[in-house]
Amino acid sequence: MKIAENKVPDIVSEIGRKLLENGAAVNRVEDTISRICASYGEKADVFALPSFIAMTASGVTQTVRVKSGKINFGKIEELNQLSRYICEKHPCKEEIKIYLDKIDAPKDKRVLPLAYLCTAAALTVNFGGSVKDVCASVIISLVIMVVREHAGANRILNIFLVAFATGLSSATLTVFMPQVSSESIIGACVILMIPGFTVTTALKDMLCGDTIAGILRMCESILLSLAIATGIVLSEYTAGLLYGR
Amino acid sequence: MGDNVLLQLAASMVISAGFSMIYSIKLSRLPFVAAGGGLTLLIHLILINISGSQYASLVPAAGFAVFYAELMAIMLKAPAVVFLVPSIMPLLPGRKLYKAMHSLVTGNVPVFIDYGIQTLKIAVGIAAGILVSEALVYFIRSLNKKAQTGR
Repeated sequence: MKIAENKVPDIVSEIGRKLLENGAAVNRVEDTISRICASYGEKADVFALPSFIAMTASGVTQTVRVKSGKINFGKIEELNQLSRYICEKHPCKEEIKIYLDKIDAPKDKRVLPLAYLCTAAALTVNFGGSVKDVCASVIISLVIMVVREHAGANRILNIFLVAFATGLSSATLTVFMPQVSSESIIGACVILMIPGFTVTTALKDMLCGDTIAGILRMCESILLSLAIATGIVLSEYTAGLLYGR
Repeated sequence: MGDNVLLQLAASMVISAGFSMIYSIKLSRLPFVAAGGGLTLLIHLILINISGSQYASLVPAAGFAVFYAELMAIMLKAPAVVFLVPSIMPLLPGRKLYKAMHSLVTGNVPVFIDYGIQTLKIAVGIAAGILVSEALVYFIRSLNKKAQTGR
């Protein structure tokens, strides 16, 4: 069965796009596309960067521009399972489309506040914070959650606003609760912002020989880290102006 | 001291699980992710006890996280990165990083340099552990592939 007849390049490039949007490593994207094409008996030449995919299979070349999205472990796993299913069963295009729509459907976000609360509380305990520090971190983690969800898709601006809001909220809380240690609170909340996933994926990309992709992701991590530092520093200056510290 | 260690381990399991929930992990993976975080911190604490060096212990601890993630990926047929990143989270230096930034704001340059270097050492230790272990995993995979294809 030829890939071009079955319009598989459209599907395959769509799966590759969704993997990159949700934060998958470049070698995983290239591997997934190659495996699906190989299951149809076709050799695919794939080149991927964090914002671009180019693939050629069966005389058809497709390029895809990928916009950055939110990292989503669940979607990466579901897309991985879908690619295994396609390789094994060769379903029709309509069935694959239904699968993809199911993956894209909005998921239940009710666990999100609980996740932020528990993570911030556990981080504060790990840094030796008191019970009052834990309560303060929990409040600030909800601020982080709200700002992160509503600050827009631009990752650098988003993380800057989150860091600024975190620093300012912490300073405001210490005015009303002078016993809390802003060191433990912000130290814990900074971990929630650190681009650990981007750095790890950058290292994986470089190790697999995708040096350009790894360098691009590492640059993004550095910019994100600078945005966090700038946000925290500016919030401290702002708090100094507002509260005279 | 024992209670403190148990509390740290419990906290690290919650950190790993909570962090992966923030990134929308499938809930069925949570016990494995929590176990990864707890085991990584446990290895880190045991090695600090043996070697006395916080920074040297980070390399094998991060390396363990990589091998654990790869093992979970094979057993559960899921991407390894889903288990790796949450397992590394308990090792990250949030407090030192904040102290470095705070001392920069207050103009305390010697303290900024001191905490900045400590943070950098931790980051380099974790990155080194990940790099070495990933390289080993890559090598083992290529040997396995050669054995299967006969090339």
